Amino acid sequence: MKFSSLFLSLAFLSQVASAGVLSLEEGTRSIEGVNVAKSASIALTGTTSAEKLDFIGAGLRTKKVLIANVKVYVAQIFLDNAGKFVRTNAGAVKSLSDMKAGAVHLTFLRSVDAPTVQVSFRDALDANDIDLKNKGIVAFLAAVNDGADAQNGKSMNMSLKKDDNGVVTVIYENTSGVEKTIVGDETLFKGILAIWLGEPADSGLATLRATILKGE
Amino acid sequence: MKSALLIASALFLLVGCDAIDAMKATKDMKSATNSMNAKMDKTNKGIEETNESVRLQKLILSKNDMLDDKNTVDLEPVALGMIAGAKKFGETATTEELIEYTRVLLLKIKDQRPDDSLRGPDGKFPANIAAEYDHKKLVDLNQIYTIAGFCPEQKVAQIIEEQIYGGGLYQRTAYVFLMARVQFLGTYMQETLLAEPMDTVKIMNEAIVRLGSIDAILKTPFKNKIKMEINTFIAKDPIVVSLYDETGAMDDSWNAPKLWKKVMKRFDQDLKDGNIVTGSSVKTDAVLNEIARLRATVQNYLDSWN
Repeated sequence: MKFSSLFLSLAFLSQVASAGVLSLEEGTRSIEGVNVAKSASIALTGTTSAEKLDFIGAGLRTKKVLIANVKVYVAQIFLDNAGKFVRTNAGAVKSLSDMKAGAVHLTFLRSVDAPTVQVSFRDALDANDIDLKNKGIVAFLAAVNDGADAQNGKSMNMSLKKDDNGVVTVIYENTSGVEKTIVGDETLFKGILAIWLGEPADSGLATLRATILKGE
Repeated sequence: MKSALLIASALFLLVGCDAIDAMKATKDMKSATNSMNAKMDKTNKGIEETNESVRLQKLILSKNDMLDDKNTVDLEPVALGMIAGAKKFGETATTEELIEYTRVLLLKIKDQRPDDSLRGPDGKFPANIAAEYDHKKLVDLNQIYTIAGFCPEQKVAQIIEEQIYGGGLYQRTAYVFLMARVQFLGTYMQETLLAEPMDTVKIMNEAIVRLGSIDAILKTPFKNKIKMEINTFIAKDPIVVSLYDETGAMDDSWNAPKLWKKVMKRFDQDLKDGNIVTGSSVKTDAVLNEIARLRATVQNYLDSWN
């Protein structure tokens, strides 16, 4: 048991060090054995330097299944301007219009197949009235659906960058480390982050949002 | 004249003999028929007994399957291993057996507890003992969930008729049975049907049937009495759940109006033109007609909540 815990901890540490587009700066605390980063940086193809992102919040995503609360993943959210981020239910998504870059880092605590991950993201987008026919959103959901299943103990990343013309580039990295680039507009930027910061699709996401908004 | 009389007498005698024979034969036939009927009754009774033996055998086998060690180890989040046995049990048992068995399981959950001599110096049961007893209680609880969840619709209606409207001996148990059914089907919807793309007519139909079962219970006139309270776990948190909370709200897992809306959206998101891969145009038309029928069914359910 101790050995497996050690093995898992090492696995998580190595992910912190070996992330591709997204790099995480190791923090001092952990949730369910997952290190919570102090900050992050993203380096998109074509950019000269990595962009530093502030830690916004982290928490455990659980799902109520019959009589059990199942632990699904640990989520960590980063944005380029924490000072302008509004930590309220009503204000969080609105304040995203002031952001130019962000990242979501999910570390799975159970295996979830790719179509199920896609459906859960789609339900959350739907709960936030995000246009599911938006080209960027369609491409994002297709990337999630066609990507590898989310493996227990592995992480997926979404790195987001908005340019001055409102063009949004998202690098979706599945738990196998395969990256997919998606280009869209403001809806793509707002939509992806609204899954965790916007109207919750279920009670598990509501609890997670509350924890993230506290900045813990 | 004499000879004519003789012939007539002989004929009469002959006819008379035939008549007697016929009468005798009729009598024999009657007795044979009676005997045959008696034999048939016996055979029917025998068949009935054989059928009942076969049914009871099926019942025992399904229960054994449900409680097989390999099926009761992993109970969370859903006791998947118990489902096949529970389904057969629900199909085979009579409504009386179903509700009596549920009653027995509820009593077992309430009464099973370790001997007080096993308590530690702090007055609590050691963790391993508590876990062992809570697991036994969870096995029993999951039998209720899986049996109630997959019980055929007409048997559920009969249980409602006999125990609730009919003021049966197990009325309170029937409320728990219905709560377990809604809770389990809600989870089944969320974790299987709605968790993945609903991209075939069969999946859509299954979702409508299961959500229809939840919907029917949510609308019963005794809906506020449907609840479950299990507070006899040794270490585990109690389970206190009701169909509607004190504000009249439903849990997300069985919130039918919300779930019907979700299902309706899936027609455009997942099912589209039926996702027909190959087949004749006739088949395609049949599938499209079926989708239209299913969509109308969902619309009716949605309208019923407005």
